[in-house]
Amino acid sequence: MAKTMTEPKQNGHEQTYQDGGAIRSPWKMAWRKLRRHKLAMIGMWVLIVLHLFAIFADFFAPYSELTTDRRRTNHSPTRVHIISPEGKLTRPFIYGYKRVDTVRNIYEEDHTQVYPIRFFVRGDKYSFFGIESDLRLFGVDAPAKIYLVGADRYGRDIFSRLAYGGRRSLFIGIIGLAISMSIGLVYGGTSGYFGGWVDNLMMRIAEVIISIPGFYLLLALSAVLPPGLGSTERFLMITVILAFINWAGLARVIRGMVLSISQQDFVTASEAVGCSQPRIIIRHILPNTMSYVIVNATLAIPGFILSEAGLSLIGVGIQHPDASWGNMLSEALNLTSLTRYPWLLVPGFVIFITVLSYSFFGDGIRDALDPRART
Amino acid sequence: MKRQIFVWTLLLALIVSAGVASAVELLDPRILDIEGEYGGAIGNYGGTMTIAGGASGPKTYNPHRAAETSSTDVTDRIFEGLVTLHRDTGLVLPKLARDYEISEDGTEIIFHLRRGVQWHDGTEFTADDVIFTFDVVYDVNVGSNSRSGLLIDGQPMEYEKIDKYTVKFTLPRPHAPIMFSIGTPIVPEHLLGDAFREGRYHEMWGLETDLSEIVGTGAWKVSSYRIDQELILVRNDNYYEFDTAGNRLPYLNRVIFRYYASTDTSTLAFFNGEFDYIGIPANQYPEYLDREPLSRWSIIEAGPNPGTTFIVINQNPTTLPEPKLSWFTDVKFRQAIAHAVDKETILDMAMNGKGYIQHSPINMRNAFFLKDDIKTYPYDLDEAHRKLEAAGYPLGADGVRRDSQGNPIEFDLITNPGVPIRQISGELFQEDMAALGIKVNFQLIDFNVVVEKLTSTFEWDAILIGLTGTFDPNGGSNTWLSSGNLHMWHPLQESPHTEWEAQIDEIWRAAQRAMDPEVRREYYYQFQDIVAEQVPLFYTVAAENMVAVRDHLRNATPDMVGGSVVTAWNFIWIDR
Repeated sequence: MAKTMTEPKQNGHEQTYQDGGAIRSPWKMAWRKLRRHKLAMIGMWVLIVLHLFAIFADFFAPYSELTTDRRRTNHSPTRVHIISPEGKLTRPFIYGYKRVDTVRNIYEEDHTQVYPIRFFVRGDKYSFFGIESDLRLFGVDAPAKIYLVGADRYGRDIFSRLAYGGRRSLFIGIIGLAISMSIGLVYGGTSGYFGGWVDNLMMRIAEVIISIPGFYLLLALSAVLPPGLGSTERFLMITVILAFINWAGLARVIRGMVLSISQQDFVTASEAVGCSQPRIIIRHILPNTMSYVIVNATLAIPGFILSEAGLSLIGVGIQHPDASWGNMLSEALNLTSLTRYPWLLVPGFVIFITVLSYSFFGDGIRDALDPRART
Repeated sequence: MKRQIFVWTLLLALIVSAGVASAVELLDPRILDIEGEYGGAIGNYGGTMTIAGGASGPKTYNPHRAAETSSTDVTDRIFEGLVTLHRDTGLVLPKLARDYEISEDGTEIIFHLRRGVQWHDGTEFTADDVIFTFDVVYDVNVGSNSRSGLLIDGQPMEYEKIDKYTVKFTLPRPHAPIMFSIGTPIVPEHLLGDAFREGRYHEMWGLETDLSEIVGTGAWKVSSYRIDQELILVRNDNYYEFDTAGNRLPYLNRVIFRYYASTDTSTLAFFNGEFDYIGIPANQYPEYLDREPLSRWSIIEAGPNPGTTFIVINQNPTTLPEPKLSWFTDVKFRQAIAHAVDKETILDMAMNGKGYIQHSPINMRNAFFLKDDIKTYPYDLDEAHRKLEAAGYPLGADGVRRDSQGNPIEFDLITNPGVPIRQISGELFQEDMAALGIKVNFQLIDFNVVVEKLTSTFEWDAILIGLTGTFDPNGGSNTWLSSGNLHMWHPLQESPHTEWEAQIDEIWRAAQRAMDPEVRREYYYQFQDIVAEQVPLFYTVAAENMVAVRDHLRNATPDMVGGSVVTAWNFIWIDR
């Protein structure tokens, strides 16, 4: 009876942090600290909103990403009115537009046509994880079109394309990171644990990859992708290419951490009880690098997003007509677009916000997970 | 004492220079009736004109090594041919030749050269230079761009020096278009002759050459060049052209080419007053239009661009695999697809509506040969669908169109990046094809790779590309003869593969023999009908050529024949 009572006390780790009766794990502590970091929380919420917007693009976007309108090239943003012509507050509506200048592409409201904005409407068809539907959050009756942030050269709605493009631009970071993390962890872990000539050889290989100028390698690799690739395959190939460029740097840091961790007593203990080497690396050593990995991950995602944007901007990444934030931005790469159709720059602004949010969030996480900064 | 020596030296120098100048006396000046012929005004001397030279400067000063317009833009000012084309009418005018005679049967041309024309180094220009130039052009190792245009049925002309100022050309058969290619730039025998005989002609006059060694007969000499930044041309003070008031041309002292990598930068530089004239890129037209009323320059519209932009589909049986070969060689398939090119929208999106819809391979500026009533394929997806159904390419219930063997129809379309009209045309075409149940994989590939596929590997399905236009229809020989290297859909054929290609070959050769323009026109009309029926190429649109010219620049009228730029520099002047 007494014996069972003493056992938890010997495992005194939890007791140390006992505070007012509640037992808190390191993760809970980190979360508490993160919540106090204002910028990080703003970043986190912005990211949550953006990701939800992208995941449920089919629902939030009024049109599909491929819906063009050749008679509405470079349409300016539609103004949403809530005050009726009689001066009363009313449900939001828009006016129809007509193109008054075909050379300069100037569109003006036609006050004789009023189109109320309808919610939960039937729009372009889509298939979401096997669910066939055409339900969209909002829309207007044909022939009018609602362009919340304007239209591109082909009369495609930029707001909708931001949502669909976000699926590629945002998730290329997460998927790419997952791939490069897995490679980096296993590679760095193996190298660091075994040491000696294995370590030497593996690290030299990694250094060769690091020493190749990344963006040029990207260019070369994406230039050889065959033209017949479908958009999903192309997306995946580009993700893999990005991951291939990125894993080596991570592997080197992990290897350094593993090298020092594997000298510690608990590793020697595991070896003594006869654990297999892969088990020691995966179950005992790598989890100790976790806080570094998480911080690194949040700070590495913007790199992926920017690389994809850069590739797509110069035309070797995601291909038209599929949207990505990078290739949408490429339409703004000339004088006329910049001066006349500034809404084409919105994808750049969204990239900026995303990268900034990841940086804030990553900063917060780093502070929260840093054991030396515990209060 | 010192002063005396100085005066004597000066006197001596004067005598010597006068002696050199009088050694070659200009007996046959070329008088330009600027007011009557070109609708201009006689001008004043002096001043510098600065112009936008494009993205990069010349790669060589050797006119028979220059292959790209960035080089020929400069060499065309330094070197001249026996004849030239009238800026507005396209008629052949004597240039270094005083006049010429063509024999009745059309097989002999005799050129009488201008007497007393000087090379920039003071040496007299004679028949030896003409003979030498044609030796150079016909030498395969030189690789001159003029060579193919000067071959008749693959044979060179014979040419001989009659006397110091007379040259006779003998043609294997009458060849009407020869006058459009015989004006190839004449190069100096006394400077390049030895190098040519030693087989080093192609090494001569590259960018590393000392600029004083670049000697031509033209109105301009290169005085300095900072590679891809700035090139300065100065006036040739001994030029042989005069205005009707007896003033020696050109009026201007200097012309500066300035190069900017992007058209956006050169446009902004023009707005800042850096250039005196600039060709307006079609997609930037609104910028110019908005600023014009507030500025001291004007926009001049100069008619359609002589070039073409089109989609071509491969019909090469040696490299194109089945079933694509069967689809693409089926004329009914091509005719149906032709209805899916939305030319109106391309014009609107790529050129702000400033341009012309194109149906015929003939240069749109050459109204004499352009046939108006050829078969056209208006944009109509329903019509395209009906024609495809009728031709045995039914649309399946799954939205995929298949051929009679059940193969889904799908092909690649490639073009080079950086040209808005090509990108827009390709994307619209891809979308329209998708609506017809045909999957087109549209991709932008580096220009050199596209050209390599087109001219050497022949492994491609469809290409969206353009060709520069020549004024005379015969300039299209390398495209339309089945043996041509730019007969893109099936180049370099030993004998015509299809009946219609054989017909075109025949018509084309008959047109070359016909010395009477009206008869020639009949042949080119037939040719245009066959092309419209067979649609090997889907034409798109030609931009309106527009130039912005500063108001102080006089006589700066764009070239109606050659293209957008102001080419008749010799009588441009600056009004202060």
